[in-house]
Amino acid sequence: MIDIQINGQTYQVLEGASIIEAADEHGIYIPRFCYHKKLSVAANCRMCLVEVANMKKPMPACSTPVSPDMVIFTQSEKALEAQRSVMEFLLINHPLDCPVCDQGGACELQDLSIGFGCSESDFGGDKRAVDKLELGPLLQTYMTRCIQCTRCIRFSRELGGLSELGMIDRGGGEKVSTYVERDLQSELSGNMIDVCPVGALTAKPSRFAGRSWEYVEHEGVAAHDCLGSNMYWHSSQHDNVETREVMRVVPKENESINECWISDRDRFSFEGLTHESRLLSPMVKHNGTWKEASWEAALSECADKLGSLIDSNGGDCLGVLAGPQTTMEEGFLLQKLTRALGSKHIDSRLREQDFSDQACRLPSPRLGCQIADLDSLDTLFFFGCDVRTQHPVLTTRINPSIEEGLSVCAMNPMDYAYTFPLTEQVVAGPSALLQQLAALVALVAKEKGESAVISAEKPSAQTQAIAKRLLNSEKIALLMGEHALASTHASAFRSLLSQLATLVGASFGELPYGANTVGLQYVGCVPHRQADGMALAEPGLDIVGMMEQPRRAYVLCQLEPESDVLQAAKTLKTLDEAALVICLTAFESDAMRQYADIMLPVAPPSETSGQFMNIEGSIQSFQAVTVPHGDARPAWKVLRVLANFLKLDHFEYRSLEAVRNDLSVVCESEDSVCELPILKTLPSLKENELIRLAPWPMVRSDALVRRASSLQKTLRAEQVSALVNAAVASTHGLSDGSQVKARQGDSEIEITLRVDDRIPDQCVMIPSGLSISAGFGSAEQAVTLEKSNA
Amino acid sequence: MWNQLKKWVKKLTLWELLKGLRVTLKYGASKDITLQYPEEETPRSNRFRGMLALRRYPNGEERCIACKLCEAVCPACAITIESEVRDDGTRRTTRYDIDVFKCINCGLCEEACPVDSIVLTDEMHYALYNRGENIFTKEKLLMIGDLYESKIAEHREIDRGTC
Ligand code: SF4
Ligand code: SF4
Ligand code: SF4
Ligand code: FES
Repeated sequence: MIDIQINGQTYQVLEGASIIEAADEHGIYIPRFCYHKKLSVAANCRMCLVEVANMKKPMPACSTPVSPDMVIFTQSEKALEAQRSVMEFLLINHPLDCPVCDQGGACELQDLSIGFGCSESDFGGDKRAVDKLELGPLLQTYMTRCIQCTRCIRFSRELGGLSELGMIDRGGGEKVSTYVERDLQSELSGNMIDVCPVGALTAKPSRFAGRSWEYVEHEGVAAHDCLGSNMYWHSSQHDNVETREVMRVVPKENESINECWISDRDRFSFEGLTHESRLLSPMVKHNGTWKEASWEAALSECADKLGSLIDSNGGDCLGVLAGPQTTMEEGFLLQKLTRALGSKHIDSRLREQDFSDQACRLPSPRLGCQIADLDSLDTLFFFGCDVRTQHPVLTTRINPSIEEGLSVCAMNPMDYAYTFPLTEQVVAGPSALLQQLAALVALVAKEKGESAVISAEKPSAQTQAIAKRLLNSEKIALLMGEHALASTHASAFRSLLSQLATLVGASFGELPYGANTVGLQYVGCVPHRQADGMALAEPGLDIVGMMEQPRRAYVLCQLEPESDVLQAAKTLKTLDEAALVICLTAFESDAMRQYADIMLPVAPPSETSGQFMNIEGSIQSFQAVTVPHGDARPAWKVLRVLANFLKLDHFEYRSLEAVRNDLSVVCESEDSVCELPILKTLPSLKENELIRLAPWPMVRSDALVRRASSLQKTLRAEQVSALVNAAVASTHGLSDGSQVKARQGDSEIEITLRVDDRIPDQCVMIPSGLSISAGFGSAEQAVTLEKSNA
Repeated sequence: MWNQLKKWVKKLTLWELLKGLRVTLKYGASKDITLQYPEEETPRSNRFRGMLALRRYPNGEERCIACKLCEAVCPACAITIESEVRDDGTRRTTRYDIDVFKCINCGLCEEACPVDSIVLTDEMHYALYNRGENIFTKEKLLMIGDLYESKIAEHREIDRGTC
């Protein structure tokens, strides 16, 4: 700490800080354009010039470090004069666009020109004009408004990790460009809209929809990944709740989670809220035809049918599935209802299929460390995790940490296009991956002088390199990603990884998909634990079991099984054959019209209040922004009234708070330790089969984003094709761009094939969640490919 | 004695009556100032703030760019605007409603408008007979603008450069 003087006042500031940081710390405002606290310092706009005693010229506050007893004036005549001249030069070429500019009212240039600009211009020449830059379906550019602050460029290089933008040309002709014309590939591109101080980069989906001053800000929690990024919904019509609509989404700062960034999925998914497939009133199917019904009629029909099925077959005939946007309160009521009806079969782990170690796992998955800890690691080890598309916000911590010496190792089923360089990587098909992981554990155990519990094959050179890296690092985090969790070997992976973590003293955690998968498991939406976390002696059926031993009745809460579960084909078949399927859903689909008998419209995240639990285990609550569209109701109300219709006791909740209180009493959070079984022998592995990798592209991960139209336009050709490597393609006699038939059991689809050498041998990647792959086959299972005749 | 005589002369010559008649005769002979409203009207300033209108450019393009400054400035919250990206990529209103029951004819909207789109004409004779007519829609306002354009332009011309 050193003493400096700003505007005559003495302050204690950190040594090494810049003047602008010191001033911000103490609430003294210095105007700036290019400086951003999360980006490197460029010092190219010169707006932050201040007077420093004993310096001839004014100094840029963002790049001048403080020194002991420095005397600074931010408002002196000299400083103001410098700031005024900078402003005058900036405005020479700035268009008079404010009335049609989406930044208007929230524009740093507007603000500063009120403070430092002149109302008249001495400039008589032609103003500069720059062509629009085509950046894809999410960002609209007006490059004439650009003030060359390079914030967008620095964001894309330092935090986005992709360096998609840069400056070309010199002097007055200097402009931001993508060099070769192409759309932005980043999953975080929307953040450039926020960092741009002017209206040069604006959001296309909410373009011209309203002005910043008429929006009302509502705090919210992002509903698409397990990080729980904080954000604001901006809605129109503050005085009339009935006609309020979500107009856009912007990030809310939370240093411990998302800093000030959100992913494009979180930012633009709101478009799906008004999709034409929104279910607006309860629907009941009679003899194959769908009819609208009143809530009263629909709910009593539910109660009658469900009641009579349970009366004749026992509660055991009911299976319940909860999707990841179900809030904790809703999940709590759902499991309470299920168990009150005498069924144990409830699950929310839609994208897992190996539950053999469930009794030994933590009651709900955890990251193993804090999200903010990722900033200060030595080594990060991803196992089967496409962090870039599944948890884009995490990469804003990883990308800059690489500069600071973080090394990232990975073992993946394909060479994912990470935005950061990997120190070591093993790419192998699911079985080979298991062998390499076992080899890694055995090698590390040997090096540590422990007796190896598992006999494994010889480690590959990369595996050895990973072992070396892990043995030589202090702070390590192991993260098991969505691919590993979805694998049929998940329990083996988990056991080996936790052994590895113990051996090298690392933290070990999981990165499951979905906003509230963690919270749902916590409140007991799993077959093997009750809401209080107590393990059941006789667990119910998990999602796979429920489809293998079909139930008579199903209740589905906020999911579309055709696109949301791993074993889509089998699930659809089972649901089709069930006597009763009740869907609580915000959206309908053709498939749902097939298998469902009753559809009850429930509110998506922006229209309901509730809580999500993120992967760190912190519970975040949010309020409804708008009233539910049409006749939709928040799912907790629907479940509560359904329970009343079913004449169940203890469902007399008058408000969401009452549910929440009950939930917090029942679900006591205690940090239970998990003792995963130690894997001694590897499960038998099948050889010579083509295994289907089935990742969900970022914009197809849940019902809401699948309906967000602008995000859908970002899907690239390789994301909607089957991918194989050249060797597999040639053994099957297939060529790049040809149509192929993929078959898994009875289900079959036709899809374009692309040759991509990022895929290992014996694997084919056919993405899940696409409209062509809806209801197709199962992930991680054998698949056959043949040339299509058509 | 002299006073008595004066009094009698005044009485006999109906002097008081004539004195009274003088005002009558004076005004009887002077120019008429009563206006035969509604056939005749008092003249109005070119800055008179009457009925609202939306203007177009001479090529027929509507001026309004949906910047919503008038909506923001209106002290009576009489203006409601909704906007979109028109097919040609420009920013336009899909809805521009003014509730003339709320409007207090302050003229702030005209002052706020960067493109001289919303204006107050000098028209003051309009009446509403049915509920709902008080909402002047975009079509109505543009139509008023079209009808009054020459007068609006003429009035703005007088003030050019003065404010
Ligand atoms: S960027 Fe700011 S100053 Fe420039 S036109 Fe837009 S609102 Fe006006
Ligand atoms: S586009 Fe915006 S952020 Fe990028 S350099 Fe220009 S003004 Fe700065
Ligand atoms: S004249 Fe005044 S009250 Fe009437 S619409 Fe315009 S700003 Fe509003
Ligand atoms: S903010 Fe310091 S030079 Fe731009």
